[in-house]
Amino acid sequence: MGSQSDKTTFSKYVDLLNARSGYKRETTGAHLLTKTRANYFGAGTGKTEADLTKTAEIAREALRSIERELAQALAQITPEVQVPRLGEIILPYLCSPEVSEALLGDLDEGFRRRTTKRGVAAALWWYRWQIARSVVKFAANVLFRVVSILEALRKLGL
Amino acid sequence: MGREILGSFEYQILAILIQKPGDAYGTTVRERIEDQTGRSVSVGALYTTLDRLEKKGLVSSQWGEATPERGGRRKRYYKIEAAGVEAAHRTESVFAGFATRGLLQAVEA
Repeated sequence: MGSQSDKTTFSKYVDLLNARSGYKRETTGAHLLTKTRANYFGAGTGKTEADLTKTAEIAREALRSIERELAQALAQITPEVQVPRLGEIILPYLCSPEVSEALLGDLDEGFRRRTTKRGVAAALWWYRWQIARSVVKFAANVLFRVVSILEALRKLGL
Repeated sequence: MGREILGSFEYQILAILIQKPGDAYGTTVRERIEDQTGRSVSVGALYTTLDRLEKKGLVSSQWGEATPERGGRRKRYYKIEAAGVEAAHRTESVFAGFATRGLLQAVEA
């Protein structure tokens, strides 16, 4: 049982949890985290290897418990992310129902993936930017078709 | 139409459909183009181009499954047709010709 190695691993783990939890720490396992630290590091002096092993196991169990608490708290804190409805409102006016369905599905998928990877703000920004670019693209297409028809009519002398 | 040279974005889409023919729907095609070119691709531009390629008979599409991740909407899978492969190769050789001529001019200058 490498106690120093364990201590380092544990310390890194706690730092990682702290860094990851951020705002969650206030609402979840801050007291548990403090208690676990005390249990573990307090056990270092004047104790046998067996004691240390036992304490390390307690610390691991405490960490698992913190993880569970964090997960529960995160589930409570993070609201069910709603995909914006902007695309649903605008895009059907600019493209065919087939394109609209496939495109809105891709936007939903992209939004959800980005929410998980980069957070709601980044996902919202991406979604709106995609809608803006798509609107410009489709509007330009519609305009091009209208101009082409008018040009054809003009050539026919109508 | 048969001897048409593709635009750069059209060519990129067809190249992706040739490279990875399975599982090619909007999101995967867009992500692969972004990965390979390092440029952000708008979904609107992608579908406008795919629609155009389909009308030209260079790609075909069929509806796939609807998933909760997509808000219950179906995926539209795209497949390159023989005419698409031919158009991509033709465009490639035209681009290669430009590049060769450009290099020769640079060497001669």
